[in-house]
Amino acid sequence: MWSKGGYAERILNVDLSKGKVSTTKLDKETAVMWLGGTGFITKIMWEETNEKTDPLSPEAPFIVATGPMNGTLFPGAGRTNVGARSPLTGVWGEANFGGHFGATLKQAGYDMIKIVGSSSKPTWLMINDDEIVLKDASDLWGKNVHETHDILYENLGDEDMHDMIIGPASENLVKYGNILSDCYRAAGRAGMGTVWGAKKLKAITVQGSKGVKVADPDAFMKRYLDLRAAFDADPHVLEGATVGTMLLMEAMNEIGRLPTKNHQLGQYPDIDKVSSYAFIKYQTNRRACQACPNRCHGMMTIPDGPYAFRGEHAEYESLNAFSSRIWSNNTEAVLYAGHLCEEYGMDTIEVGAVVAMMMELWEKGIITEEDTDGVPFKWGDHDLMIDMIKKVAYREGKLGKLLAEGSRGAAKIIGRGAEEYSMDVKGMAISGQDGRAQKSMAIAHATSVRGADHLRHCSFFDELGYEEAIEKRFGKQYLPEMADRLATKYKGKLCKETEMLAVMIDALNSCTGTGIFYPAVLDWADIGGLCREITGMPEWGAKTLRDVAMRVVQTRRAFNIRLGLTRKEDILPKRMLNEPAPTGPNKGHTVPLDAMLDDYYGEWGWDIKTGLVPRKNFEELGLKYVADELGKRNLLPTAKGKN
Amino acid sequence: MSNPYLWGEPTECIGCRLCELFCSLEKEGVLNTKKSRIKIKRREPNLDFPIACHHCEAPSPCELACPTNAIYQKDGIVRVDESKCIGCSACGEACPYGAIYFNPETQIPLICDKCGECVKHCPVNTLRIDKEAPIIKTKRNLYVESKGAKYPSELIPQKK
Repeated sequence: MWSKGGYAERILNVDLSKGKVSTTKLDKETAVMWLGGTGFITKIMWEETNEKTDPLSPEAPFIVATGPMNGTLFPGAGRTNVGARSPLTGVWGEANFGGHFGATLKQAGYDMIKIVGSSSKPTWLMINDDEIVLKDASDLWGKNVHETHDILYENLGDEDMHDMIIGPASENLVKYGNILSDCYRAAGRAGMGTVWGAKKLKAITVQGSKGVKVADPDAFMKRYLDLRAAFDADPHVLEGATVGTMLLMEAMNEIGRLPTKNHQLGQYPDIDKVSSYAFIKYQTNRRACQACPNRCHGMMTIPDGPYAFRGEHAEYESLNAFSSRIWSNNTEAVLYAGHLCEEYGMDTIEVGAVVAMMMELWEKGIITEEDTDGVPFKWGDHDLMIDMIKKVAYREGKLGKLLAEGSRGAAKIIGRGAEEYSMDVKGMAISGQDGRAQKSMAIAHATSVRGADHLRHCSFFDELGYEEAIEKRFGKQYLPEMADRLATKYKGKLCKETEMLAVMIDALNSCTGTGIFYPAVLDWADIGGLCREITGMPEWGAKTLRDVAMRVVQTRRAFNIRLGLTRKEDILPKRMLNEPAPTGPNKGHTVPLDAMLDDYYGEWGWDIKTGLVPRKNFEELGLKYVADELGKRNLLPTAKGKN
Repeated sequence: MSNPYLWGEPTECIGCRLCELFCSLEKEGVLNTKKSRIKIKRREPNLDFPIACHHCEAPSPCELACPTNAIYQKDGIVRVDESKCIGCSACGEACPYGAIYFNPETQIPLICDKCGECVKHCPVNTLRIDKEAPIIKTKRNLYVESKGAKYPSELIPQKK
């Protein structure tokens, strides 16, 4: 063993076409170059796919990756990263989820699972330490996520069993099908579940009894207890623990960053009916991921009425997608819609966004009854929203098939200028933010490798003006502009740094909601210390970890460049660029995207004109082979721009 | 049930399993939820239920079931003499709470000894070692409240 803890040093390879499983060693070089999680995914996706790899083809790999922190005591140590080429966008696809799966996979003795091929009949992959079995899942195919979980749980009879399951949406190849872990934790975006649907992989279960080692328990424990103390004293953690991200509904409304009416507005007049205060009435208890004190998810139950259900994790993105985004103020319908998406296994953001777009197209007269089988798409029709979720999951009728393509896909099919109203980037709907109201978010949405997304950049420092955190991480000289969400100055710098920290979150795997950001106690040197204490590898330190982050960010970008993406695709919907926010605290604001991209590319040293990554950037990080591949395709910047 | 035992309220438990991790670390020197003496039994849709040994009054069912007298009680704590244990799991079968777990490598029973390590680290402070589980008090309160209404209020002592 080259590590003294943290890594299991083993990769599980699954070939669904051949029905074969095998294990290979994880070599030290891979760990040192890529750390884990998104890093491993980046390496494999770059090396084992090319521009011809169809996302839904058997040869497309699907990766489940953990990092050195998984399975330890550290908050967020239960998270898991998954990656594949996205069937929704056709470009880089990645998602991650909380719960217990990642920790248990490590406990079973694996750092990652690499899945290729596709099965002729539905399959369930069972992992129990060294026992790996591909089981027939024909009986499970067609069942929703909760049912499937219950059956697997009963079947294995182990309270330490954890699973990943797809629902009917992914089986029916809805472009944005997702994967749910233990019913509620979603690898939500970019259609990761759809890849499983094509591979006919219904579920993975994992049971592990090997445990996880920590190289230097005393030092690790000291760091851990310090962090726990900082946690207990931090008001953000307390908010997370009592209300969770539901709180963002009213917080984002206040700063005018709550996507409303398909991003026409940033504030919702009926916010009282869809704020955390309204939702928390339905909360029965709170839940946490493995080893995390920050119980950020509230378990919801509606005991009776048309929207009755038991058990759901309510969180900001889903609440936003089914309330203000479609102009609906029905508290119970919002929760119920989220519950249905959990049952069917689909991305709440995308389905909310596509229905919101349809409502705007209806308002603008671009679509009529002829396009919708006679269904009127009126703003605020929450029952229509619920009906559409059911139709999409089974690709039912003309509408179900249309909306299953996602926001951009549906707009393309409709034509007639509909694409202008699709609030997406690179084909993935914008998550619950608005670049006009928070300028750093404009960079995040425009340049994120998986399409409009806030979590590749995690640029939260200017969201509510965290001056203290900025001073600590960046220095006083960047205040007040960097903390001002409406200022554009220093946002390139902010985004580069937070993007690199976000890589750490997804590579360790930790969590956005803990440790790294709130409280802002972990700096690069701390993360280095943590990695040394867990793995016993003296290599880890601020510089090596920053190198890992730079490798990951730029190789993920190279993945998209190889697919033909340039600066032209780092764009926002016209609405963000040209339509000033009409009301609220950001009234009159648009996104000066070009200047901001210049700034951000400049920080990374990328070609300003094309957005291509220079050879030097790769070679400095030991990635000559990535540069060579791009060079062969004339995708390195030249003095005059793109060749 | 006169001995104090480890208890957590299922309505408060968040299912984070820090108790399991701290238990395995304290007792077995590894981070391994499968080597914990307390377990969170999860039932969907929304229940997380901490379960550990209740330390029944001697002779406890596990003590009686053990064919080699490996299980004994001292100071109100159920203990295992590992040198006598044959790993037959009869104790687990006899336990009315299903609160005995087994080391996956040695099959030796893992029985809570009330060391309190998990109590110290529970983020919601729901774990405690108590003679009487809080749920019993809660039930008693509910019962008294339901009956109390039937009595004239002057009979119920009022706070001054």
